[in-house]
Order: sequence, then structure tokens, then C-alpha cells
Amino acid sequence: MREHRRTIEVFGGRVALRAAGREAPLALALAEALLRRMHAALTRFDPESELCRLNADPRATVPASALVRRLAAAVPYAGELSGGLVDATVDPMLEPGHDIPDDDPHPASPDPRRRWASVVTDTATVTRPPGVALDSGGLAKGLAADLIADQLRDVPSFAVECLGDVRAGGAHRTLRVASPWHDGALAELTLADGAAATSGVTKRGRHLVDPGTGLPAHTGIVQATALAPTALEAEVRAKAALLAGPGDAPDHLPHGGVLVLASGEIICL
Amino acid sequence: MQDPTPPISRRLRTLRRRVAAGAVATFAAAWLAVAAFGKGGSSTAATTPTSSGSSATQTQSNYDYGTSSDSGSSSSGTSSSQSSSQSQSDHVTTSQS
Repeated sequence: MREHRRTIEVFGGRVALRAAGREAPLALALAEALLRRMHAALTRFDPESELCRLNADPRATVPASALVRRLAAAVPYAGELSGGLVDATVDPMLEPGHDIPDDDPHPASPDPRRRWASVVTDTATVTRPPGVALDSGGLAKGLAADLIADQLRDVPSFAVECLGDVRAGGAHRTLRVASPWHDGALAELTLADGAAATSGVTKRGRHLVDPGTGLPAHTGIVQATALAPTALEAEVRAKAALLAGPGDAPDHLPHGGVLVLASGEIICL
Repeated sequence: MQDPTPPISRRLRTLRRRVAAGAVATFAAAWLAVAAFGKGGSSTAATTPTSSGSSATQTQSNYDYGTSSDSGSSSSGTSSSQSSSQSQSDHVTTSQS
């Protein structure tokens, strides 16, 4: 069956959408509109975005749109699912010139303050302690893939590739896991109705922050890929596995995945 | 003797019918065109899946036929899109963003 395709540049990267069926063109157009709304609302690089205005708001409870509330609801979900390792209340923007410690690899640890647990949403507002900022980071990617998949649920088959996160349904596909070092594929898995996400430190450097120290994480894993029913869960599990280090990473990948250690060893789970 | 010229009301009725028939015909033609496009897609894009970007709507990047590599583009937030239609490929790629 033919698949209609649409490629959109948002979130500082590329989102590729595919869908089959007669309704696909309209569904893809609606998906693109949703992506652009998400980008406008959730970007951290526009001080006028709704997320930036929320982060700057001195009130504890702030009225918010449905998209921002969905992101805010993902914050405690990610914290709970990862045991605090994926903490979207940690500012990932390290100070310029920040020294990256060249220490021995060690697992990351959660922030004992558990600020992610203080983020609460209802049908109209987001509540969090003033001064606690939410980072859209990887959560927005997974959330976007899932929301688009929800829009495409009525077409015979679809696939969403959202800046490295994948959500697909309706057909069996080969999932290629990109190599952390070159453009080729590291492994190939099968993906039917589900999602996958990859987190790593070889393409953008050590940008993942250890919540316990606030410093770049150095765990001995350079890339982690997670399979999960949803892209948001896969995103959280991939990041948690990388931050947990080789010893505990498998515990964060109950649906399967691939780990690449700093030594070059590849572990398929 | 009957006036050969139809009364104004009859002429208006005829005019309205012709206008309505024209509108219906135009709508049907447009619907059929959209249905055919939606089913078959753009033949140009479908038969030239190369990175040369034959689509007139291409503004920033090339088509990505089945891969999602690390694009490393800026975070300016500008968005562009291309659409095409081709046979289903069976692979997707997950990668670091």
C-alpha cells in the first residue's frame, strides 16, 4: 500500500510522517498543524512561547493550554518511571565554559529534592513551586510522536520519526538503530505497533545531566535505545537506562532495547 | 394570442437552475480531482525518490525516504514541509537527536 509522506522542520530538527490510506493526506496535514502548535507552545528558545512564559511566571498555579498541561503531566510521569533519573525540572542549559569533569564512569543519581513530584496539572492549570522550570527536552519529542500517532490511529498504517524517536502502527517495520559513531545502522529490530527512542552522548556531547550533581552524566554508556508501547515511555526509558549505567540499565528496558557501552560493546536486550 | 417572450419569473427560474447545475458540476469535478490526487499522489514525487528535491514546495531540506538521521539543524524554530507519496517502505530509524 502506498504511503503518503510529509517532512517538517520543527523542534530544531526533522520530523518525518508517513501514513497510508485515502484519509492520509488530510491526517498528515492535521498532524503537521499539531506539530507546529506544539513547537510554538513548547520551545525553550522563544521567550514568548507558552512554556517560557510559564517558567517565568511567579505564581504557583498558572493557567495553561492543553499542550503545556500534557507536557507538565509528563514530568512526574517521567520522574516516577525512571526513579527520578529523568528529571525535567533540571535545567539542561549548563553555564558556558562549565567544566565537564573527566572522572571515572559512575551511575547518575536522582535529585533528593524530587521537584518533579511537585508538578501537578488539572483541567485548566499547571501548579509547581515558583522558580521550578520545566524542560521540554526529550519529553516533548516523545509526546509529539504519541499525539500524532493518536491523530493517525484510523489510517491503515503510519510511522512517525520525530528527531530520533519513532512511533509506528499498522504494519511490521524494520527498526534500525543508528550507530553512535557513524551514519550506518548498529542493529535492526522489528517494530509493529509501538515506539522506540534513543538517547546518547556522542552526537551532542555529554549533554545529559546527572540530576543528583547537576553535572554532565558520565555513566559508561554512550547510547541507549529503548522499546516501549509509547514514544514518551521509550524516551524516558532510554534516558533512564543511559543515566543508570551498565549495571542497572537493563532494569529500565523491560520492553527491550540496545545499549552501547563506552568500550564499544553492544548489548541487545 | 400568447406572448412568445417567457415571463420574467420563468426566465429567472431557468437561470437559477442553470446556476445551480453549474455549481453542482463544479463541486463534483473538484471532488473527483481531490479524490484522485489523494489516492494516487503526486506522480512526479512518487517516481523520483531522490534527494534532488523535485517538489516545488521544498524549501530547506531534502526528502527523507525512510531514515531519520541526526540533522543537526538549528533551533530557530522555522518550519518547512514537503509531502509526497510512494510505496510503503518497511524501515524506520531511531537515533540520537
